[in-house]
Amino acid sequence: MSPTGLAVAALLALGVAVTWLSCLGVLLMRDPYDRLHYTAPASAVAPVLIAAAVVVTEGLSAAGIKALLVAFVLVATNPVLGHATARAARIREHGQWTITDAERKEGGR
Amino acid sequence: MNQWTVAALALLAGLVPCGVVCLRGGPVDRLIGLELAGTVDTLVLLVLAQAYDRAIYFDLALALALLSFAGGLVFARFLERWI
Repeated sequence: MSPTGLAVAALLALGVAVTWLSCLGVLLMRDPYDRLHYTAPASAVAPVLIAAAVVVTEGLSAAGIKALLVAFVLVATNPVLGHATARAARIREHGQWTITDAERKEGGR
Repeated sequence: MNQWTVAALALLAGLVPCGVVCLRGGPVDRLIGLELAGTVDTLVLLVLAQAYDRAIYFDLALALALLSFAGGLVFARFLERWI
């Protein structure tokens, strides 16, 4: 296998491994807040690795640029989505997403 | 069957834990499973576009990335108060 092929295989394998670990983490955690942490690697690390594999194969052609664009969209939108989901979880639990009076008495979090 | 097809099949296996999370737990846990499934689907489309060697197929992955983000935001907004 050529060095390029080897690099592509390694990048793809890493991307798949990161995605699997992320999915397993979401499956094994018990709390929505803990689960949210494990969605980050799948949408911040794996797209970059896979887009890098595409760019190594194709160079900066139409395919390479679009792959980088997809990775950028995933990396940019996931934190927003995570914040919105955690906010929804807190509002369901406490009625507000800012710090509650009980938490302030405990010393805050 | 090249390495891209193998990677797409391997990524598809990651949807099983997402499906299990969507079947169990509270509404917010299910939403998180759905969001992760959207991300994994985007990656599958990205790898498949390269497997089929068609530059136009990358647009599908881009559309799914943007739409799953918008869908997740709408679900989160509704879960805040109404559902």
